Amino acid sequence: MKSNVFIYIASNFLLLFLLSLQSELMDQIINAVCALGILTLGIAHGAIDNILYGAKPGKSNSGFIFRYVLIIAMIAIIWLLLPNLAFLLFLVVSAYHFGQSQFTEYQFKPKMLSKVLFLSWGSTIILLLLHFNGQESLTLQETYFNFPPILDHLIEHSTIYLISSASIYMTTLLVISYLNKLSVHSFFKEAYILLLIMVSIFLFPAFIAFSLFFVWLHSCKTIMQEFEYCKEHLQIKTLKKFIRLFLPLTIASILGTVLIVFVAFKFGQTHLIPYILLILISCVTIPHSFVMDKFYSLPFTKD
Amino acid sequence: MNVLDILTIPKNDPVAFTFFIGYMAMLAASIFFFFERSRVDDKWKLSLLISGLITFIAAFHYYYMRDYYLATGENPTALRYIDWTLTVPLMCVEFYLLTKVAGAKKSLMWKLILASVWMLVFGYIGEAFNPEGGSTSHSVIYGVLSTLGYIYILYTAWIGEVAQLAKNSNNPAIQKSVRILAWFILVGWAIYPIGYMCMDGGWLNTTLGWESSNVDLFYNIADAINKIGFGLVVYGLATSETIKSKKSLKTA
Repeated sequence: MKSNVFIYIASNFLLLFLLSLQSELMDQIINAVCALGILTLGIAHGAIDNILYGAKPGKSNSGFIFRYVLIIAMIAIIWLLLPNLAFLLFLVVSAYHFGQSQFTEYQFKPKMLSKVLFLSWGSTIILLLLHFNGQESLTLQETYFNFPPILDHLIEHSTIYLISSASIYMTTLLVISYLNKLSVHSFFKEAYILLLIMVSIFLFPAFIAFSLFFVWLHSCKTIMQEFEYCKEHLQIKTLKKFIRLFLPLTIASILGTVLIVFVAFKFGQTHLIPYILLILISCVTIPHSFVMDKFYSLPFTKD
Repeated sequence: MNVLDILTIPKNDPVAFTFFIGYMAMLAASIFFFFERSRVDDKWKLSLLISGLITFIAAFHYYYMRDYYLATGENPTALRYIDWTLTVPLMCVEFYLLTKVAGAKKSLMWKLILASVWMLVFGYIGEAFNPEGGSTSHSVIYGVLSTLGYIYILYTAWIGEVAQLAKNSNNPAIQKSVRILAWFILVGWAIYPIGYMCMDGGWLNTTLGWESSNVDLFYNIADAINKIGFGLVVYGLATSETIKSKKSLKTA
């Protein structure tokens, strides 16, 4: 078991008790810690995309930045013109990215089937969030800004989508386990992790459940792999040097987020904050997923 | 008190049912382990003796717990924790014995025993001293403290010393057995907190309305899985290693 998975399991156990206190102060503390986790580890895992794509630290990589920003701009335009499509695109790409990150240590064949596995795993996680926390999302909609109408549709039909996605995942996992001679231990490990995520999403509020998954199972795992990559390819051997590598963009992103929230408060537009953050997250998630797709094809990410 | 009254199991009482099943299963497992002990190599005899002791001590306590429950309808908390105080550290001894071949030191055994006692002491305070009607804060505080002990054992089994020793042993049978035992801790031992949270004031009790009688239902199920299952894993390893050594002796 990797240490990030262990921390995820331990956090779930401890939070199960702490949230049962049903104290407002405790809930606020837990929410703040989760937000801090996303702002630090969550952002940091995507802060060296340029390096992962092949740029050398300290050297100009304007070509990469130009393409990255171009994709961001294109997605922003899609959000303006076709918010439903943009939202759906964001969900599909995120689902695939989460799944790919989850199974990165295996070398599954055939490739097409492994892609189905990635997509169905990630979709199951996202649909679990919508299914068990649909009411929470709808309340958020009423309080703040209207999210794309497709969200209502997804929440309303989440049961059928969830059953379909989970069935595809389980079937694909079984087939792929058989074809690739996956050990019983690995099979149960994957089944257990999904079950634990499901219990976590069922028991905890959406934000906390998602933060736990996103920070420990996704971001932390990616950061550990990025560190391995830097050690192997860039002679960045110490954690201190590695932190120095991703710190500039992480700080810039945190400051940018804080600035947006501050401006929204200053002009009394707080109701727009979740919507703007959603657009921003989707704008960076899509190019990040493309970079990671290339990164995960490198052999060292496999066990 | 009439013995026949005590032995009547109400049809709609799964707790009483599992107390009887638990008792018989533990006793049968003990007899099995004690008898099978003679069929394995000397180096595995102590492990099987420990496995047999774990289930035998549990069977003994289950005998009293089932009667206590039928007579009073209450959770036999004290008896339960006396049982665990003896059997859970013995499970930690099993871990030590398995990894001893790979160079485990006695300090590992004591660390695991200490963690298990920590887990049980706080669990006992949480349950036995729960105020009348139940208190969520009391249940949470002692639940968290107890969980810290559990997390330490989980860490040792999956990532820490036990996992490393098994990895370095270069013995696939030991690696497999330690891995299975680690699964027991991860999944089997995780059933206990569910039971704990069913007590008055516990989260499952207050939020989902699960009755406090479910405490024993979950504990009985978990005990059967963990104690007998744990022993069977050790038995499996002992027999496979014995067969292997007999084969190598024949070929030599």
